[in-house]
Amino acid sequence: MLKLLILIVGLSAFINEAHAYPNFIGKGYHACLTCHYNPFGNGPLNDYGRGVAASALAGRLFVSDSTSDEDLSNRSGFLFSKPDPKSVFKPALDYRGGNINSSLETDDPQEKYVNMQIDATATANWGKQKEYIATFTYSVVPSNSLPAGQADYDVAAGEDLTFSREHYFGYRFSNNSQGIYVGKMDIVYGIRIPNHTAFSRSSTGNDQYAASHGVVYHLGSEKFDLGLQYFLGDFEKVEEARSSGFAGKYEHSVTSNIRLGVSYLNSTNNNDDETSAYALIAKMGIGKGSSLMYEFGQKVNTISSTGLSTTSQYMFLQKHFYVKRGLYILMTYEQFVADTSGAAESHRISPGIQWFPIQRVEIRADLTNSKQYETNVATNDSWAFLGQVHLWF
Amino acid sequence: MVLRWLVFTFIIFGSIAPSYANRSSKIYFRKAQILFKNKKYAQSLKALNKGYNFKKPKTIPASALFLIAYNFKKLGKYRESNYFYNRLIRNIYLRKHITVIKAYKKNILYELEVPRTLGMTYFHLGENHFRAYLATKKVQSALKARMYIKICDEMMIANQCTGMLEKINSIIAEAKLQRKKFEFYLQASRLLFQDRVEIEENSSGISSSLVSNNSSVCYGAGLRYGSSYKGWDFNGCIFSGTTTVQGVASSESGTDFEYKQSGVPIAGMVLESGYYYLLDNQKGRLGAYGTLLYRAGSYSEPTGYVINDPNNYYLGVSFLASLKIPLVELQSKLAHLSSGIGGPGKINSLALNVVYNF
Repeated sequence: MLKLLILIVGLSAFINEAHAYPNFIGKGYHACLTCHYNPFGNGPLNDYGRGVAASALAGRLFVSDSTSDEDLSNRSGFLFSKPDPKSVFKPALDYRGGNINSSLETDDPQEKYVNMQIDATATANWGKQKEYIATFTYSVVPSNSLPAGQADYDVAAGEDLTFSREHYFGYRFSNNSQGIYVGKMDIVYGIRIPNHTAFSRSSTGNDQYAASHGVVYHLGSEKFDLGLQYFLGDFEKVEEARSSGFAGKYEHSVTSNIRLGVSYLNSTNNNDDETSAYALIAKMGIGKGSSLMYEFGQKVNTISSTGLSTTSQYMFLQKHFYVKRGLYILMTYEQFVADTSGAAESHRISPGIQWFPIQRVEIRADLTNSKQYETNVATNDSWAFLGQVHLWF
Repeated sequence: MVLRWLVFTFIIFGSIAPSYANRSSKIYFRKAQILFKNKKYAQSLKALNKGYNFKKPKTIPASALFLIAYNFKKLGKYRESNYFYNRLIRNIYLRKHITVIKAYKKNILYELEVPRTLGMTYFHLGENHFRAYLATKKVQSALKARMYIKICDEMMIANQCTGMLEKINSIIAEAKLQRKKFEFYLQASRLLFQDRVEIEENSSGISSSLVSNNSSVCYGAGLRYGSSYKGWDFNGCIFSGTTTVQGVASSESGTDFEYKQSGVPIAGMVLESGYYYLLDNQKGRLGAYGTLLYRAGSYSEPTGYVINDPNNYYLGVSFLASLKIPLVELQSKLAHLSSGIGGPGKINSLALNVVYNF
């Protein structure tokens, strides 16, 4: 049972999904809207984002010198087609899978291959200024790859989960500086990193299944992004697993390579338990392509039946080192205090490699050392390794 | 009468002799010019040497000095070439040169105009120093080359100067990056590590391993020696903090009990030596280190038991990832250590450092 628990924790610690890479502030990209249809990142890339990924971010393995970056950009559309700015329909396919080795510190390490993401997306973008957006992402999670979140959906044991990861209609106005989005979207809170089980995401209920139906207002310019969201819960989940509330985020570029922000979230679940959280955000571009991301957050969870509140804190610090085009080294440190009135602390440090050898391919390798610090228990450190591949077409 | 004749002879020959010398010098000068055109630089120099006394450059006219210097340049004798170009400046253009250097320092060269010969002299001096740098790799030569080429570029003396200036600037920048130097730094870190403590029953000698989770703060300093790309790092810090120890203490009678102690004071030090690489415009640093960690703990001993290793040292390797941000450097270090050399009791340490570089 303990091994099973360790395995589940180990697995969930590595579930990454979609491509939201705020690290690319190191390449000068401050705003998510530059590359994504969603102004707060994640979800499908727009034509520009696909082009940037192909011609500037990904490496040139097996690409001849005679092939220019412009040629690569011209092959960045769906299934290697040339992106057509006049085309309304923008399909996309995404796959991410990983081999997880957990409990490496024991004599009986666990190994499992997990299909983290199998997505098909259809996006339509039209209008004189491409101001209308409609997108739908259909996702399949095989039964053997489902983490604990499966209980939120009406899925029988052994069945695959099929659901919409996100779908929304958006309208941008005032010269594209403002937008209203209605549908199912991720919660507008904190730094939207790909690792959904980072303390900053899991402890605030922003894991890979946290997208919620609601409405988002976005106001943005080159200098700042403001997002306000009212959400009603994910209607695809069982009623008991839905939470409603509001969230918001404001980020401001104070210099050409530093972006600071604040974020707030308040949600109430079906039992009237309330969660409120805030986060302080700092993102910094360093050198030619390296970056530093920091998020400090505090969450207060109030159980309605007892009136008891628990305050927890988290910290996320990620260094993203640019080695050469397409190749990065990561060092992530996380800290979590589940109850600030106690002295228990969790720490994680994860060195890793992120490699985009060619466009549409991402390879990741991460090693994680987890430490638990409590006053009355001395728990053994745990080690885990994840190798993953991410493909998009 | 004799006196008159002497005065006459002196006047006549005194004036005739130089004009005779001038005439012969001109012949050699023209000969040298033809030889130079035919790329016979050594012969051209010989001809000039016959017409002029190289040991008395003050007496050599500007055109001849220029040709001498140019010949030396073509022969790759940059030092000699520079000498004669500088003589030319000193003999003819000293005042103008001082004005130019002043304008260069004030960055107002565009306000000046210089004679063509002086301009070309700057160009050649720049080229000479540049080539001297390529041969010797002396930064001083590159710096002088940059000065003359910049003068040439800004005063639009020769078209080649713009390209050369870019090349020299990048060479100087690269030379600065390659230069090795010492760098001292102070560091403060949060140090977390897990190790093992052995508890032994006095009567039976049965020992058990306890898990100890140490949390501490470490203050120290370090010294680096290297270029802007890579180098060596030696550092150390002294830490103090507390630990929580827990585990089952076995006994011969079978009445095992759980030993648990929180807030145990610990102190110690970490010494490291390793090699690092700088990435991304010297903003990122990745390194691998050999690490020695010494820890002393004030564990309480239950009756009938003894703690075998209240003081212990560990050896192993650590991996560094560091980013420079304004004012400080943020480091993360992950280490895997063993008790003694290749011994048991493997421990993991995590350090989050803030480093201030001097």
